[in-house]
Amino acid sequence: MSVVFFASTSWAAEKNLAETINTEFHRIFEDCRQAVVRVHSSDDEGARFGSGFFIDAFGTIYTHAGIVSKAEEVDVTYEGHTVPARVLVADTRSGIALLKVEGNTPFIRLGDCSKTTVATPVIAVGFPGELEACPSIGIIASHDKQHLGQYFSTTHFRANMAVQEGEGGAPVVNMNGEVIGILVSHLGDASSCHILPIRAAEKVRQDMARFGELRPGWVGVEVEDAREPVSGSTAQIQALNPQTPAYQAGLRPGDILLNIAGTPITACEDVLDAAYYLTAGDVADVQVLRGTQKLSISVKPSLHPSATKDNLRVEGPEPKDDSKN
Amino acid sequence: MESDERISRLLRLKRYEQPSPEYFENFLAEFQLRQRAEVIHRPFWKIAWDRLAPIFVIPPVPRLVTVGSFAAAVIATTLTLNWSDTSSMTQKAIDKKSSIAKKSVRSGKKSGSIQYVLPEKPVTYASSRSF
Repeated sequence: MSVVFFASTSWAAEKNLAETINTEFHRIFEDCRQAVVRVHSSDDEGARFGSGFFIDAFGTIYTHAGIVSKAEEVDVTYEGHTVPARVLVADTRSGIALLKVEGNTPFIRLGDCSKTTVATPVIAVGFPGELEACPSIGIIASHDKQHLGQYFSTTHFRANMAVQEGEGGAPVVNMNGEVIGILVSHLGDASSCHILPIRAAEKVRQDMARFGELRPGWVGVEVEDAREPVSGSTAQIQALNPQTPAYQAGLRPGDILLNIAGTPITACEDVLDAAYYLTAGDVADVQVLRGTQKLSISVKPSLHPSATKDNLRVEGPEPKDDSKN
Repeated sequence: MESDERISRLLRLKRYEQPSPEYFENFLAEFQLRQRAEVIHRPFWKIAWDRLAPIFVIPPVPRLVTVGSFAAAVIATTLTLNWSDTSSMTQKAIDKKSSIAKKSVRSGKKSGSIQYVLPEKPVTYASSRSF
């Protein structure tokens, strides 16, 4: 009797779980679909299509930089109509762009991507090819700093998720329906992809909000692997030009980097993440080990040498009209 | 032997046996009447076939060949219909692409290529050894 009762209870629980999962996936997709847009741009080379999404009620859009970086005209389609959009910035370092359209818009809430660990389920909602917006379900496979020997500007999420061309710039959300990243590239067979963490995208937006331009920071440090870990770190300052902010702040060759602006450093690769979030002009604390002495040195980064006009596009063309198709 | 004798006698009797004279008078009229009745009750296609058949010399067709021909005709019809559907879908896709291309043309740009963005390569200018 108890076996029958246990079996029926277990069956009911499994059924409820399946229904809950089904309901949640539908809810997340429906919530996101309203705020996901198809981005269309045109330039001398032809037309480009991709995806994007509203992040506030005032028409601000995150999308893929590759869609709009060369564009002369950009428009977005959502809720059945097409409106012109203005390119606020297209950043090739992060691979994303910010657009703006007029009017009140639906939007997707941004989440805390620091909680996005390996094996976290995620959903992307984008426009594959000429098709309508559709969901892709996947799972976070790893946190990658590089791919095929080429380093990312900051750590990216790799997700096992089938994606297609045209979905670049699509939001990737967690099971709470909050954006944890932006789809930026796929891995050849399109069965997995790389996602820029939303925190990295927010760095771009914060720079634009504060300064009206991007200000990636640079302190002028080159690092090398130490012979052996010291205080848990193998990142050793290799060389310093006296003209660099790092040298002027007091950092010296041979110092072992322990922490940069709150980011713990254990290896040379770790400086990438730390460096990405530096802002030119904002003082950052750098902890180093010099001999047996632990030092905390304040450094004021300058503008990253690579942040030229070739890598940034700020304030694109104004929209020609506000007519809706 | 006895049976042969009886048959010979019967045949001799039948030789002088004839129908009544009315039978011969109405024979032709009755024959034509029956012929017309049969023609009226036959389906049109059968009549047409009877008329046309002598024109073409059609050899006797085995049943297997008939069934095979029917099957081939059905398959050919199905394929034709499917092709028609596919081509209409393809046409829709072409029309849609054309509308996108036209949109680019309307906006004064070249419509040389249509690209759906999701690159394979990561976008970066970072170096792991300096910051």
